[in-house]
Amino acid sequence: MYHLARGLYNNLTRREEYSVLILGLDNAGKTTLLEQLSQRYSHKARQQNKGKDPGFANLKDVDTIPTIGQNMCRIEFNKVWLKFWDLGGQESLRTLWDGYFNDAHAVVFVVDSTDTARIEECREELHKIISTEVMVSTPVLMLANKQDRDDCMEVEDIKEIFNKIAENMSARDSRVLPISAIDGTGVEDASEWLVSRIVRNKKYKPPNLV
Amino acid sequence: MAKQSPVLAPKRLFLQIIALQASYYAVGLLLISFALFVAGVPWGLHYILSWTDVTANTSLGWLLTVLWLLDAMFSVLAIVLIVGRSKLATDFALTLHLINLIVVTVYSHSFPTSWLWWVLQVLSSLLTVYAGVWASQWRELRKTFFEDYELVDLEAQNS
Ligand SMILES: Nc1nc2c(ncn2[C@@H]2O[C@H](COP(=O)(O)OP(=O)(O)OP(=O)(O)O)[C@@H](O)[C@H]2O)c(=O)[nH]1
Ligand SMILES: [Mg+2]
Repeated sequence: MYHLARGLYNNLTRREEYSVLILGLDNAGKTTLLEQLSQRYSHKARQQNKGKDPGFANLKDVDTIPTIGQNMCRIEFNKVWLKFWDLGGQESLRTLWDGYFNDAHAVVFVVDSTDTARIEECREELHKIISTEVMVSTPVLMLANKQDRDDCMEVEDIKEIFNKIAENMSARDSRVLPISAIDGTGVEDASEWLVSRIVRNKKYKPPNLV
Repeated sequence: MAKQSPVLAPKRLFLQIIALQASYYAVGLLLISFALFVAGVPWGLHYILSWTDVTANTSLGWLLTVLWLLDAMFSVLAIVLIVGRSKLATDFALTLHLINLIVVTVYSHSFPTSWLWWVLQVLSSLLTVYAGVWASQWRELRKTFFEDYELVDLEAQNS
């Protein structure tokens, strides 16, 4: 009876959770985006600004160092729990990415819109990700980051570059959206899109129960 | 990444509890009916579902006590067959007696006050807990022993 009660209790308190990978070249702003998400939508942040608008966390003064291992944060958005994994984007670290593919319900691919020189490298990396077998039915959100800077590329240009790969992504959900991870512009819309696609894809990639 | 933690399926546990309880009363019914028949006492459901007959004042009360203890031994077997896991055996054995307390209280419309009935419950609980854990462990060991044996056998065949 003790085990029965405990089992019932666990069933009642379990919640569905989806894993999202944040990938992209080094210096793209992945860790900054993760910080932005956690300051807005993490459980702790929500309790701190109860009822109030989360507002725009400005992370200009937040120092990030290149990620070597992984950062993780849990957020709740539109009643859906997401677990974000931020991995290192340096070339030597990219080989570690595919170890996370199996459990990913969605991929957020962050692009530094000011880094015109490496846009082709971005395209190649993204192509590698989406041509992986296990990623076939995974929604992919491309974020043109650093839109607060004057020297950034237009979203339309970035779209054009990525739409070329998006075309061979068949029926997969994919989208290019502009954001600024530092001041938080566009992060809400990006989260909105991400959650809607993940939920829509639930049948093919069921959530984890935690 | 986080994998689903193994939670015992409540539905399965619930069905196992029901099955164990049912087998306890089924065996009790058989044993007691047979004893009543041999002793020439008219049959009645209260011999199985009431605590009032398990009393130290009558020889039938002592006979029922012995029969219920015998039934407890069958329950050890049932725990091994239905549950089969030593980690759960204590829980199931105690649950069996707790539900029985509720059943006899409801059937007799009164809380058991016969000391012999309580002594019987304590003895029966101890018996099912200890023998249940021991027997389940024994079976688990034997199972892994045979699995290992089969593995070795397979490896021998492959090489
Ligand atoms: N102006 C501006 N700078 C940004 C923005 N997002 C990130 N940065 C800056 O870009 C630099 C790199 O950001 P990180 O978040 O550390 O980059 P990363 O993608 O995590 O890099 P790795 O961990 O090495 O893969 C930092 O100096 C950030 O302040 C943005 O939206 N606008
Ligand atoms: Mg980083």
